[in-house]
Amino acid sequence: MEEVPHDCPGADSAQAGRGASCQGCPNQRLCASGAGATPDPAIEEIKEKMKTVKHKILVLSGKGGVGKSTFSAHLARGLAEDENTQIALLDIDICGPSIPKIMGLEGEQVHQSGSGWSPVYVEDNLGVMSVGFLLSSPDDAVIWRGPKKNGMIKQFLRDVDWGEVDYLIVDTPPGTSDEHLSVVQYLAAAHIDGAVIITTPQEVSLQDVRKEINFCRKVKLPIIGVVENMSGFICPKCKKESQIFPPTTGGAELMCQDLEVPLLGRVPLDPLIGIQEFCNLHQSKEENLISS
Amino acid sequence: MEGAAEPGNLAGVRHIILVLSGKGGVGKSTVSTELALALRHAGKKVGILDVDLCGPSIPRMLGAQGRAVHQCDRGWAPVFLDREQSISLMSVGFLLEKPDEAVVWRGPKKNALIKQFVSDVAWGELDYLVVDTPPGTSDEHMAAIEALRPYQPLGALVVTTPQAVSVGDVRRELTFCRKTGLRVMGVVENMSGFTCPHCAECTSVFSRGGGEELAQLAGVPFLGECPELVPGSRPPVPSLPWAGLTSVPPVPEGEEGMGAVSSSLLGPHATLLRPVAPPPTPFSGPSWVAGPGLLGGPRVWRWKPSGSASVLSMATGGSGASS
Repeated sequence: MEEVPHDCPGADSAQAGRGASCQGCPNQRLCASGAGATPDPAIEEIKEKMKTVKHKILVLSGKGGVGKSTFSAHLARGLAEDENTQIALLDIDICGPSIPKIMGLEGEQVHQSGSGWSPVYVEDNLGVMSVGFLLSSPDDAVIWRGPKKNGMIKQFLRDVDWGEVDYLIVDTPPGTSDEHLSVVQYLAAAHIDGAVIITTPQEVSLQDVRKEINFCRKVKLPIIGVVENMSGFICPKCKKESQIFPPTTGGAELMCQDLEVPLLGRVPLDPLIGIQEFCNLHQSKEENLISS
Repeated sequence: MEGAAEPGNLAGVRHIILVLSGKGGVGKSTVSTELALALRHAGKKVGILDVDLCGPSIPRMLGAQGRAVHQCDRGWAPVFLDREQSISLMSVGFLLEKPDEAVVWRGPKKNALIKQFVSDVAWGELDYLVVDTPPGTSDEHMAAIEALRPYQPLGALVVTTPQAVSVGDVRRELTFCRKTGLRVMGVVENMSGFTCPHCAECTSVFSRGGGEELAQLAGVPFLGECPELVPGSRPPVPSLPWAGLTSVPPVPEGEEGMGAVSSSLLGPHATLLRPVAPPPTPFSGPSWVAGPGLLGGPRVWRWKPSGSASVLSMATGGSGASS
């Protein structure tokens, strides 16, 4: 269902196929017959596939550029330090897939086997999947509308051969739109452990993150907690701390108190992105996740 | 999809600039607002259209949160920041019942609202319409370009930060511009460096050089750098419309920051951006009722995102009725 009218009420709405905007849509008859209201069979298929995945964590933020991909990548690496745990990192940012670059996997290709698509393994126990691996050039733009992006996400969840996985970390794009609705919908039957929400301290981020928290509550997605990224900067010359993104409205701490969500921690802005620091930080995140 | 556009609400707009970036958090909204203020400072009449439906930042940046959208004879009246009506805005932020309400819509519904923003908002006579977009290359961007195409947008200003992960996404945005036939006026590099307030050492917190390299790679003009936020310079949310935005420090003599960008856009007649000066008669009061042309009493339109077919509830005097 790719060519839909601009004001399509939605295939699963009560007006599907019956509204004025449905006239002329090739799917009108299908929607009017109520077919859109039946659950997508892919949801059951994904549930089966996800039986081998113990924990699923979404990394969200209403705001762009706060460090979701950076955090997801470092969390995956931190968890994968234990060689006995199998980690999977799924990048569902279809338009701006950053995970391949952050993980140093640019140029890698996805292979298909009898059991589905094989993720790209950066370590023996850390597999990665992203639309970035399906593009032939770094300049290729993915100019897709919602339905096509949803189809890709469905394939990532249903057709990738993840194998036995302890943690599946899903990196998402900013916003509260198709990708987010789709991943929650498709994993609905498979049980998502929860969402980690990333923010930066300033109000222009927090106002979008509050929306994301409301989105999670609307779709009944448990919130593991909030991480405040880029919180403080240590000048390499004088070693004094300053706030590049000042928390003029109380930062993530006050927002978490107001909205009654846990604040998992703060991560400073380090121009070199110190891996050591991140891994230590992620040990504590891991404990939080295991206990939740 | 529809035929040639009627002389609609954008007929009086001379130039349309889209501010794009494949990457989130690079400062598109900040750059859009600063550009609009710089153009206004140069004596132009400017409108800002915020098509980021999930994360509308423009109202807060200009201290206009909580303002209501009113109807006039030509459609929705944009929110004016000052009595001279030299800056007008439209954003989904004005249509939400609560500021923290999430707009959880799929593509088709977003497309419909963006079309309405273009065709149903009475922009009037504007020198420039600056269109702030969300990150990515998806529904909102395609809808905005389709709706604006009959009016021949001037072009796109592409914003990036210096680091490789931004440049990687912004390259795709440049491809998007090529494929959609949108002229790229240039690349602006934001957050180029941070000056420590204690020792004045400037550190490249997000690496360096990416913007210029990107512009060279794509064969488009590099319009300049904007510095990092100066800590402590951003005041708490004020009542004055412009003061929510002091992220660019006062520009020294010569062309730097958004002054350079607006100069490049306006050509030799542009004046340089000085520290952002308040409009002579600042707006005050919580609800602005548009000037001449408004029919009847104030009517407040609120967009109520709901699971069912789109509901636009018209509230008069506080009560709601579905239409």
